[in-house]
Amino acid sequence: MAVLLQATGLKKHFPLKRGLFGKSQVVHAVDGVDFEVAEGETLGLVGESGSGKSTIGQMVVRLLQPTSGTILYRGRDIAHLSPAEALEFTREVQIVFQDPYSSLNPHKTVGQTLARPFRIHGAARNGAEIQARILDVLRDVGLNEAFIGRYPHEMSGGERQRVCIARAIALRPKLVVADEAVSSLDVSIRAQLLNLLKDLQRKYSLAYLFITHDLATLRSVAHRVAVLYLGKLMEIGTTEDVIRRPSHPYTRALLASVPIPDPVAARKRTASELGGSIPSPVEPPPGCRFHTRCPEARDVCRTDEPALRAFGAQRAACIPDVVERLRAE
Amino acid sequence: MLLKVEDLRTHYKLPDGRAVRSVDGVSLDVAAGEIVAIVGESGCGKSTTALSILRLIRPPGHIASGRVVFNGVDLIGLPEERMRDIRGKDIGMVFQNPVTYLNPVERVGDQIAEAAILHLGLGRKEARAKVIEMLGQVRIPAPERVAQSYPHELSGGMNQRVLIAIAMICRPSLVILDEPTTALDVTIQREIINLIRDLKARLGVSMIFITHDFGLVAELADRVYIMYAGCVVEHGSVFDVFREPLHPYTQALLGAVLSINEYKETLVSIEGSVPDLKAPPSGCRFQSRCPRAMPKCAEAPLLKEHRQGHAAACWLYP
Amino acid sequence: MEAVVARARAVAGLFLGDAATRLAFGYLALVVAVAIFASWIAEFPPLQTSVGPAFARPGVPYFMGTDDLGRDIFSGVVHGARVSLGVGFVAATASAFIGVVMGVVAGYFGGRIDVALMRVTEVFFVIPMVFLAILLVAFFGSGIWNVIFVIVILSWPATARLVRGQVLSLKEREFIKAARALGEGHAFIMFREILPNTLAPIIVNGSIQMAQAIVVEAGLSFLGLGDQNLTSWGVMLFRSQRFLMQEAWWTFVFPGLALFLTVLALNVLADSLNNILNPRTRHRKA
Repeated sequence: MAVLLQATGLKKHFPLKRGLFGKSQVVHAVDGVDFEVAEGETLGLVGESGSGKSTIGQMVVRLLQPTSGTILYRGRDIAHLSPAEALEFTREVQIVFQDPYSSLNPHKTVGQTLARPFRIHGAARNGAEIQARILDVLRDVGLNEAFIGRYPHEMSGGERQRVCIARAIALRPKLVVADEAVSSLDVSIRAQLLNLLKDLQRKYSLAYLFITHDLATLRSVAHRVAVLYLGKLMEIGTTEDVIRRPSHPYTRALLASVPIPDPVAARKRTASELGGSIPSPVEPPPGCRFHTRCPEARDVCRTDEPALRAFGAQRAACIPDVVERLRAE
Repeated sequence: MLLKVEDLRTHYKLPDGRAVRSVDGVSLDVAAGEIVAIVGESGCGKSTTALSILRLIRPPGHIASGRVVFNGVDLIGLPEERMRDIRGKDIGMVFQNPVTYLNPVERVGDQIAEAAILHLGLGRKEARAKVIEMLGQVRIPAPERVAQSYPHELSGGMNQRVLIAIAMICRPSLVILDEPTTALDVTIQREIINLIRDLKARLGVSMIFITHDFGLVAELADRVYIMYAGCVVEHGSVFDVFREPLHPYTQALLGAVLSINEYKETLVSIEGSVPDLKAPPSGCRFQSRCPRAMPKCAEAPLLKEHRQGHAAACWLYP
Repeated sequence: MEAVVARARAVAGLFLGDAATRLAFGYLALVVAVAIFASWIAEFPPLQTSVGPAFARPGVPYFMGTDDLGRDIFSGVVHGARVSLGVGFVAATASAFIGVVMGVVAGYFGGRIDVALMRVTEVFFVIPMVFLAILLVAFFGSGIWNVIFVIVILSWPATARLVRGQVLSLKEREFIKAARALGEGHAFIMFREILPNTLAPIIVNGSIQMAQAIVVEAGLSFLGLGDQNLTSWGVMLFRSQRFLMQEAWWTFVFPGLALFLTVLALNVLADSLNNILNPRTRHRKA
């Protein structure tokens, strides 16, 4: 499969102002991350708060500019696009956010919201054609013409999120960033929307960058998974590999933390915990970011940052013999 | 039985005079030393049920009828002063966003001590010792230092432990936890899950655990009540309900739940939406979305024990 | 369409729901009508002297009395409504327009534009408004347009700050990010996505500013800095200063009352607009 998007050495630092006399500090939101997304595939970005996963998503859709590093879309560096190219880019790469309540303008009807993509990109010749396209895209997301005149407050959370998805796929993009797109929804609604996202992927060979904190969701959605911690990539590989043979102590801890919806299995396993709390991304620990909480940490981890190395089909940023031991277990 | 809720009804008055029947005839039991989970989707009335037990319903809401018998006393009829004594002393509470329940300008040690001074009549010194002990119980490292901290100096997980310490300091026999881990990261959530298990084992406290997450139910609960549109549709031991869910709603919910251990190609989803609680349909509340609805469903089914301790409100089990 | 009608009806219900709002609204409607039809309602031109005897007591035919030069007070109050409301409306509208544009641009783009705007508005905030108004009018001269100009110069920064604050929080909302990701232009985002969401506070602020403008105009006139060729309530108050100690109470009570009630009604209106426009239809949690 052809590579659609490739991020290399991606960094995003946010300056932090600390009063008149405080020294200026920097939030290391994303601190050197590499990954790629192939056409039609779903790459899951998983991490806890402070991992930088949402920041990556916003850089991919050009809402934020990387501090350094590059993002290539079909081989083109998206940091240097002419206005016309930038407009074309928005046609191909779209985003869906977490909160369906703040993702829609409260003063606009669904019809007004969904007309915009076609207007901006001149994708329809006249009002009638726009109406027809709106209807098409509403049907694509499981809604109907009755929704055209509705305001956001007249819809449920699930319906709003369908409208957000409709807006994102209106121009048949190649890549959609789903930033916790189903996380705030109830179980049954979440299931509906995940089915919808999968259907759309099959129908339009969409690629997703699926950002979430929830590994259980990724299991059924993502082809590959990238595990982030404090702005760094800990591990990346196919979903099956990462879940069956976690090769990084953090991935392991994360997997052990996820509740299992099966009382028998949940009570059988030894629920180890990490201890400590996630350090601040303002002063991330030196060496390996994870060493302050890592059960495998050694002296070298406090000073040297491990590189991302290949182990089988996976890549993990950890000491090779630790990884080999974890993989053997 | 430590707590027995009988036919509880809590309504919210709308400006137009109609009432939203948020809790519409809920009955539940909590035995000493058990964790009971109340599960359901948003709007099902699970949190309102918890608040009603504590009589914390504010206008325009009110408890329309029902009994909440705690240790043999019906809480619904108690004067407010007696109720205030029970809250915090005999029944503890833990909520979802710890930070909003802590005073930002008061040291957490003092906030924990407050309950002990108020309810147990302890002096400053005794209360201090008790606070340090309690912080140890909720497994906070360096309790002396943490007691001196302000909420903003602690992480979300730490603040949640502080809230649990406040709820537990008077050694209540029942603690109500409303989505206590929803705002926390996965690895922190794991610590709180382990802590809750540990507190139950060591202190033998009973808990009502409100959640929308079946993973947490499986991890923590002894028994579970499934709520839909203001009513309990099924209850039973957590093993029975997960192994053999009776009600079509429970079956669908469990089909929609995702697990890290299993790849699901297509997820079970429930079409349609929750009925309007201002004018709920007569008969079974789930009938319009139920794949197995039948004419009989126009009549409201009662909760019936299908097996020992496992009941469902559905005509499939007459 | 039905939704719009239902919404309009709901707003109307809220709007006329409480007695104070109803009174304020009714009074303002009356004043506006009087201002528009002043020439038909007033019997005499407001500046015409000797339409009656000097200091005629209220009664028939001068039911608000006359002043020292025999001008009809009622005709003055009626025409004064036109000037006072006109000044208030024009000044508030112009100030809202400038304030909104500056506030939206500063809030949306941030950076240096924002810093510059904030410094400018701070300057206006530390200098007492009336003092500056006096200085400026004394400098430019006291024609009515100068008075309006000065009021606008002094009042747009408040609106700009208000709007900027709103924009700062709105631009972080996800629907704005979605619009940017969709390739929407800056102008569209500022004025078609963000602006409609700030209209409620702008309207509320506008009615308060209108009240303020009327007071400032009256204040300037009372100090003798108003346009003497026009009859505003303030100008009438200025003229009747000298009779304050005399028996001719009607020369200042009627214009004063008109002014007071108008300002009060505008404030009441702002208050209820705030109540009507602010609470969004929130969804109750379980």
